[in-house]
Amino acid sequence: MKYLPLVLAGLWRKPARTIFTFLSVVVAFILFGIMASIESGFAKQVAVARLDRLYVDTRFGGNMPIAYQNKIAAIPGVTIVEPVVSLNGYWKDPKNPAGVTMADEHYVEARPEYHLTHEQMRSLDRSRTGVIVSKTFAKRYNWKIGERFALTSPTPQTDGSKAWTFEVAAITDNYDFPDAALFMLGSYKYFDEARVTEKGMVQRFLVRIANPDRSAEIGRTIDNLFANSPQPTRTLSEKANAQAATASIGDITFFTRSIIGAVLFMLLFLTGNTLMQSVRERTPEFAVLKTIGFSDRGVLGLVLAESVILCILAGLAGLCFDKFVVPVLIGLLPSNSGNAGALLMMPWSAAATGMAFALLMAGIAGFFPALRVKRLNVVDALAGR
Amino acid sequence: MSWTRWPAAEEKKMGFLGQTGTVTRLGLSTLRNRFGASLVVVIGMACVVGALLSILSLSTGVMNVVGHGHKDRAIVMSQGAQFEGASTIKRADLGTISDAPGVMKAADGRPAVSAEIFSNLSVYKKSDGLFTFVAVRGVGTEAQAVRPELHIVKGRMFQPGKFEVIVGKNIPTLYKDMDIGSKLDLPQGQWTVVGIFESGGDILEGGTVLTDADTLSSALRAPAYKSVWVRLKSPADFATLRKALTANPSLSVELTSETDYLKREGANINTILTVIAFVVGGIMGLGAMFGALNTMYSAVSSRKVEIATLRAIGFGGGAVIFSVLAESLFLALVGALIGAFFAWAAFAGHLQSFGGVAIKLGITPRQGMGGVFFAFVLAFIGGIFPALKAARQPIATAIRAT
Repeated sequence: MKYLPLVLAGLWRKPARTIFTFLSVVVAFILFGIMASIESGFAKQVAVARLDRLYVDTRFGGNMPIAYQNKIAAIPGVTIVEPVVSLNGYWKDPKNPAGVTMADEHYVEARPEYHLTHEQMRSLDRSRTGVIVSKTFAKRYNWKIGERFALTSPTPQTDGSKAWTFEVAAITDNYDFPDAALFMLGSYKYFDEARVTEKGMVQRFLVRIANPDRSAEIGRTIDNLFANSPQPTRTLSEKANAQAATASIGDITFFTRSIIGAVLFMLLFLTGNTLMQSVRERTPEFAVLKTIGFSDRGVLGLVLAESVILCILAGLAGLCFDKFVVPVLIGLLPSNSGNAGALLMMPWSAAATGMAFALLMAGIAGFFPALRVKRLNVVDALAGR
Repeated sequence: MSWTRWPAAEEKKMGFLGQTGTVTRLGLSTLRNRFGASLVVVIGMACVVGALLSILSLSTGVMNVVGHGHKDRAIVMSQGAQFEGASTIKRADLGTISDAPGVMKAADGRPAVSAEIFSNLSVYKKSDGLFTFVAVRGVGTEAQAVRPELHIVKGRMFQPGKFEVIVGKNIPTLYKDMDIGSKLDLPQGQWTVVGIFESGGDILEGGTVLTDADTLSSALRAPAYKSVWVRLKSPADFATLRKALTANPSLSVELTSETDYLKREGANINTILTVIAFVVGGIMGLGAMFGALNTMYSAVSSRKVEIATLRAIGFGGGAVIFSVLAESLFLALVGALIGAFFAWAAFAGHLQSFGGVAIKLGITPRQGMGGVFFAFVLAFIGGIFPALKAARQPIATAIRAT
């Protein structure tokens, strides 16, 4: 610790050079953080996806009759079958998309991560127009409990109107994926009564099963049950669905890692070069230090300390920017940009990886300059050779 | 260094350009002394341009697929439907649309219209074994008159009434069990792949299975068509047809040109990719720019005496500024070309499944130029401040510096 002023003086010898190097390390770590967040965001979507929840969709498009519910429920191993249909539209302007998932009381068990209660879901049926909104969604449009709003939708109502009025009854969140989920839940009973077309038809069934190991088997059983019906089904576990959805966007890991690799590679050269330049200019000074009794290891440590302080501080600044400033910037994005924000929330684990990389980089970038100083021949250096 | 190349007698006659050329040549000739530092600019720019172009190659791939709209083709959808999926066209309306003015007649004298319907098929990717969906589109008997670019390259056309399909050229390459003879799991049983088609690299070729519309709709028990594609006599007939369709009180449809429709489909994803490319490129560029500033500051500081000497024998400040900038831009150019080459070698021509459509990645010359230009902008900012410093330094003190 007592050598800290010496190390800092070394860094501050050419302030402009140090500041530029510092800033390029900062921006590189900002990018590192963003890429690492995207990667972990996608990985988490697959990780939290459940194997004991199946999605039953129609095989060839279109909707299926709600009568499937009882047939699926009769299959041994199935615990809950929940019909789901969504009403899509927009709020005020087509730029503000909004959709309500219409469900019934058993949505509580179908999606336990929403922390709903039976009473809450029953109250939606009673009030008819009540909706439960996710925290992030409510925040996006600045809705409070009790807020009344109208969705404009291509789905007509029995009175011919295409404006569906709702009232925010409660606000919750997906606690497996906090601060990111965008959803609204409404009453299926009300919706089915109010709509004109496709009455009694649903888009999907959420099926919970007792034993996750049997997901593939039960999926096949469900599909076989409806194989020869007018509307055959395709059943997949939530996990398989999430994997396919992630993969359909392309190889994200390859993409993010290539960019991270390019950034770190660029940085290594930049920082290494700055340190080498600085050390070269200070050759006589290091010779003096050695003359007055600093050991080879001591001077090596001084150079490495410079490298570490530079990289750690810059890495910290960059990652803090990601953690605290990026969420604010995302809040400023227009509301139709989907849940891109969810992918840019940097988890602490990504921040820790970032700091580990900063330290590793400090070591590699500082290695050659430090070695040069360690091997410095005092007599030659003082003579300016 | 041979000083005889710049005799004092000539110095006053040397114009600005001559001076600049000389100082630049001198600067570049000593570049190898600053090899390590110069490498920082080269590598920095290579990384920035490489990353930028890699992401843009994806956007080129998407635009290759959706940029193939024909002006003499249009799509009829129900009123208010933004996409084919949301549209319904009653079977009874097909005749009215076919007979409307502006619709071209096919070689056999029948109107060039194709009433279409679709379903989807889950397929497994060869690359990672995961499933994705490809579209299955039922087309009318005049489909080839509507889409003259569509032709069979292998096998034969499907026969209406039979459970037969043809697949786009890239589908068997990307997905398992999709070649001629494969059985596909479609409504009412197994459908056989009987042919492979090409359609000029558009979205059909990239990710669609084609079959007969009436066969597919009866298998799906679908009561109506989704959309009707029409070939116009000429692009100018678009307005005629639109007027005729909207004026007809029995119809509730809208006409969109294929160009506009594809633009609507592709614009979003293209914007997202371009934004990502510029955010990533911009942040990396900022880092590279700081690196360039560092390098160029150290370059002018190591050339302090040299520059001061040139100034003392009469070279102007402008020439010095230009020479420093030229050095910075030269390094950036080398880096940008290396980066562009790597991105091109890694991605150009690469076939990838993107949301169920096969896209061919590519880097257009325009994107390449854009990458180089971006590197130039960064190198200019990175070079101008050191250049000004070099030109402004007091000659008397600088010349004595060690």
